Amino acid sequence: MTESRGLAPLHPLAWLVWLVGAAGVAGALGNPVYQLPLLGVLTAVYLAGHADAPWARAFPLFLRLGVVVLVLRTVLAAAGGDAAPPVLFRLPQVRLPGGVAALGGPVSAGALAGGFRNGLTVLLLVAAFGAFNACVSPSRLLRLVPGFLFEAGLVVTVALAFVPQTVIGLNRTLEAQRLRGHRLRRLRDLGPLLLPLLAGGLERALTLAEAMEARGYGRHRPGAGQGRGAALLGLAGLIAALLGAFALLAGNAAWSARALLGAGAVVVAAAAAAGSRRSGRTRHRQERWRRSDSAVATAAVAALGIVLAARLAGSGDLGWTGAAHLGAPGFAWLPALALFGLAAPVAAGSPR
Amino acid sequence: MIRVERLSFAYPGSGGPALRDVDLHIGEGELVLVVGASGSGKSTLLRCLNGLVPHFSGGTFAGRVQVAGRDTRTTQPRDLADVVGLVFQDPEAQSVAEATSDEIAFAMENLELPPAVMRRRLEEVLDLLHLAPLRERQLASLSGGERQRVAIAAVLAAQPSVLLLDEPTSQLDPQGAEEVLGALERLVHELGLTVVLAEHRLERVAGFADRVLRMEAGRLVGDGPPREVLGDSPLAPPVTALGRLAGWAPLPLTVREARRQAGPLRQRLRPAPAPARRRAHGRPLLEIHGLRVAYPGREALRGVDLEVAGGEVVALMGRNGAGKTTLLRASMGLTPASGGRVRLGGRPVAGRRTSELALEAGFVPQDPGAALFAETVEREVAFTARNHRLPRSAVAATLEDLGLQDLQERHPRDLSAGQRLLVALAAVLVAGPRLLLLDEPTRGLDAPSKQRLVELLAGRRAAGGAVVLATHDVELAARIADRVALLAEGELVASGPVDQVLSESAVFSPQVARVLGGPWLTVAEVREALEATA
Repeated sequence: MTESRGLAPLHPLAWLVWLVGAAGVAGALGNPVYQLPLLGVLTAVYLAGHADAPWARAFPLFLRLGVVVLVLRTVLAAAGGDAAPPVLFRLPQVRLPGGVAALGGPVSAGALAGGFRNGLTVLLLVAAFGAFNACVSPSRLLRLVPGFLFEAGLVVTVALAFVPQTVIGLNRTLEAQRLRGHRLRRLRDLGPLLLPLLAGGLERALTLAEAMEARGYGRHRPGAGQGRGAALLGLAGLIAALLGAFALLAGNAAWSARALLGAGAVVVAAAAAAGSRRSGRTRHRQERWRRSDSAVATAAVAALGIVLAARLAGSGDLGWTGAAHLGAPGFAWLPALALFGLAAPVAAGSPR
Repeated sequence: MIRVERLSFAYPGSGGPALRDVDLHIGEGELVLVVGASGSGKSTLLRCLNGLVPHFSGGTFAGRVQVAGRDTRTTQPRDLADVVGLVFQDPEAQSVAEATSDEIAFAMENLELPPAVMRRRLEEVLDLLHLAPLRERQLASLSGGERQRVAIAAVLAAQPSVLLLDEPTSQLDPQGAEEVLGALERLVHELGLTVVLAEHRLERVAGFADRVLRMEAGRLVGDGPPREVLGDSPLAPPVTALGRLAGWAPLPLTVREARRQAGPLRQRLRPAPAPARRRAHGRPLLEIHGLRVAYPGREALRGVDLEVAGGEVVALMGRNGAGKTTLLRASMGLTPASGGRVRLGGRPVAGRRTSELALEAGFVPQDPGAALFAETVEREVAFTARNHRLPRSAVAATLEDLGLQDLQERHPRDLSAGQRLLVALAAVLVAGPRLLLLDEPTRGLDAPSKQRLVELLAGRRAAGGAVVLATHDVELAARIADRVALLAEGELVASGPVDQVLSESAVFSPQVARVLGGPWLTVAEVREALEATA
């Protein structure tokens, strides 16, 4: 039995690079002219690459979640009362005490369009993550987690097992209810099932954690001490690096942000080195980096680079600057074609 | 190898201690069997031996446990993983990887074995447990028995010096169980592995054990050679009970030992009439003709015919993955047939709602506890009654029928496996179906609970109902079934009266039939015959 259906299995790191590329592109786009084809690309990747396993079946669920967010964002943006003309129609207005904020009132085409494209961005992010999730098995991903972060690995594994187990539990319970003469009429009928389901899922998750512990997960090398210090240090470094990166991305180019990012990265690296010396894991299955992996990673990085460059240069109207007054979105060929770089997993995966 | 001194333990927030004052010393290379009713502390004792109790469970811990010289109070379970391996009860709940070989390699990776050593050991355990053809299969696609073997292999691969197993054969067919136990015995003899295993199906394991520990309410009440501890115990396997009845000394523990002494008993039984077998005469409740069911990539059932009439109990037997569960599910319309006909209560199943079929047949799936969701036992049963618009009195009557009145305010999760099965039965029986379909009902059940189940099924049969039960439990089938349908690879390979099918089968014959041959299946039948001729 193969891991994925038609595709040569790509290295999880290649998938990770792909995810960064796809999420970055999705985040940079605000123009449905590009957003909709990207949704098509992500769906194609899922269809071609998803594995035949319980964890791989969540994509449709992710997609539905994204659609719900899209609708909500559009409705909320409309109700938010950003009354730039042209106004399409008026909703009854509710003014909050103090007159600071209001709901309802005039609904402009611009607000609707803005909400829609924001929602579309979320949908794309969710779809990218869903496709990634369906194509790479969680256990392969987990192998990328360095040994010293074993607590994190434990939590992730248990959480990953929790979701499909709970879905299995739900199906079992629903079947048991049908067998006992029940017909599911309303979604509300699911309410009373929630608690026992969560309890059952937690119970199984705990058993799994026990089983992992009993099989030596997170062992320390003899005489290496507990090494909590290194883990804490690593965590602190990670937070510092993230804060720095965030500040930089938010447009704060101050030296302090760069310094924070740099120092954080150094601390993380040091903690990782110390931690890996202390507790290690050997690998039964060596993941090999193939030419197709390089191709997928390069294509994803190139797509992200071109889209970001186009966005910064203001070419191709990637952000749909005309959304506020409902001007027709602009279009340029280069960034549009770059999107299809994200479809590389489909092409790279010639059947074995 | 294992030293337990004055060990007492109580789970956090529990009423009483789970273990009281246990003193125990187990030497290297011993194969120790732990027996006792559900809730007597067997699993807790095993968990103490690898440090999960108290490190994972919390609770009040007194006394001392030492394994290979390491004190479990100061050593984490993960740091004991190179000397102790624990195989949990439910193989599905303990797998961390997707493919068989990754699952087996997991412990070795944690122990930082070099890849070359890992590959060699992987091959060894794959061979030892006959898993080689399954090495790259997804665990989710394996049958229960296959997963159980993978779970054992995953622990064995770390080459621990102590192996703890919690009901290792509960999911296995007789042949699979023998393979696993045979492998264990080999490891004990050849590598000096110390094995401690908790098990309810003593007929499978009694012959393998060097020593038996008997637990009762958290206390160690028996400790000694199997013959001594099991000899006067109601838990004894059928051959031992037969030996007691016939006055054999020494008491046999295995079929082989019993056969050597069985000559005179066979003589005495020769003039006795064969035990009476019932013939069903009611109208057919379930009719299956040419049933085919296909899953993606394989055919689970290939043209099965089966009729079940009122007043009979049919045991559906066969190896793991032979199609037993599929047959039951197709009978309820839960799994669509790709060919053939299924009629329930005289009308085709296809196109009818499950809720409507539930009035004709009650189906209790494997692991009945997982299908319970209400706050109390009473509400669990009331749920069904409400769906079928039955009066409240039906709930009370069903609870009383099954002897659950005293438990009706309890939460189903807090009950023993046997009690949970009764609740699941009550929850389908309240609708008044005449046919009962049970999937592996005795998994994890202790002897008294099994006895209760046998009585209950006999009662339904006497009232004109029918039961189809898919089971690996040969002794259960011998005690209750009138007919046996034997499945192999999705085909019906034998079907007929229980004594014929079971005594002709090499694998699925009960211990008494192996000793005495012919029509004798259970100790009770032999006792009756002896009383009649005396």
